Amino acid sequence: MLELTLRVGAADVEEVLDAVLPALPGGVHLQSEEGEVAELSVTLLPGTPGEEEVRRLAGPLLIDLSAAEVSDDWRERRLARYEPLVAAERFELRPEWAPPSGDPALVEIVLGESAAFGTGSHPTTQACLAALAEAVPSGRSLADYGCGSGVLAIAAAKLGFSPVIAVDVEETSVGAARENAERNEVEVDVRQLDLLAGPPPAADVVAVNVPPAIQIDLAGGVEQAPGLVIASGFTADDVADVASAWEARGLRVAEEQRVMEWSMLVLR
Amino acid sequence: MSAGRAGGGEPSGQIRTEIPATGERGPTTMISSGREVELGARSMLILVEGVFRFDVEPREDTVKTILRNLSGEASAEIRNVPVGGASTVLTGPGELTALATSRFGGEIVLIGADGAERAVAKLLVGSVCDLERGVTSFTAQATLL
Repeated sequence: MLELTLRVGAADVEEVLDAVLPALPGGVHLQSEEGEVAELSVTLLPGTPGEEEVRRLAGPLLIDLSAAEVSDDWRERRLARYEPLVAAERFELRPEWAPPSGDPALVEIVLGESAAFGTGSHPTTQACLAALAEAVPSGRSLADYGCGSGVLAIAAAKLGFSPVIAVDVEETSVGAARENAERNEVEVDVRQLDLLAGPPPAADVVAVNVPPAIQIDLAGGVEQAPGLVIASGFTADDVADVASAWEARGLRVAEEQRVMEWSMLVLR
Repeated sequence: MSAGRAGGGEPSGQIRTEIPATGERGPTTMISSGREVELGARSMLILVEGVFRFDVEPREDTVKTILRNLSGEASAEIRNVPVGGASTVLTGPGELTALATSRFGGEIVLIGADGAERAVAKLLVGSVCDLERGVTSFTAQATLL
């Protein structure tokens, strides 16, 4: 199978996409955007236009175009694109199909494939992991509300928080979190619960990476305010409302971070 | 009712259907498309020439949506519109909250320099993530207002 790499000016990416996307149902990968040049790649799947047609569509904005043979197997193409993911300079998060980096300084978290949120690549997950790495685990329990794949709960267990509870309403997430906890050989009490249907399980530290409306309801719903809350899953527009909801429970904002379009709060 | 396909100038995989007037509303146009998109690739779901283009990019955790304003108006936004049954929602930076099987209802709104808003299309997007094949299948339907 052929893969085309189109080099275009970084400022011209959207204009080139205007020209090529209508003809390429399988889409385009934005491979890199360094300085003034961006690289777009197109896998020539059956039924898509060939090299000359893509070149014609991209038109004069194209700096150059190269073609290379890639595997027909999407797993091998994915592996070829894979780059190790390190969060907070502390955790190495890798899918089970990727090789470990072998860096002994990193806490490794291996995640199985599932449709559950939390591969570690999302900016909110990374922000929560960074805050978690700064928290003192000794003798403290942690609850991960809306755990998805369980990545935050597993990271907490590996740091020494105990006991660790992970809660999600979705069956897919609960199954994925249980399997991932086992895969990483840590003890996590994974429960399927609707966090808004009743008081969520209490803990000294709470990690909660969910949309803002749920954050606000949760803050009002906990029976006992935790000592530390790591909250993300919302943008700057919602920071004031989320902070107010936890402040009403006696916590104060100790740290606020922006990560790309997202925000993360640490409240004590 | 008539349906036209690529030969009539529609982008690949997009179908335009003219829907006649009923007693309650005038004639309208429905644009629909289907796509199978690899993880990490950005693909166009709906193109309304001179108005907007709606793209999706299935990511590791979520589905990134990108609305391209082609209208000449100052800006364009997509807003959540509830659909019946379980559905996913759009968060602040334009990400749908689930990669798994989901459906999303939205409305495309153009905003003029004076702040005047005009809804131009209703959108319904369904997605099914196939982890065995590394692709997400999308279907999209835009009803022009």
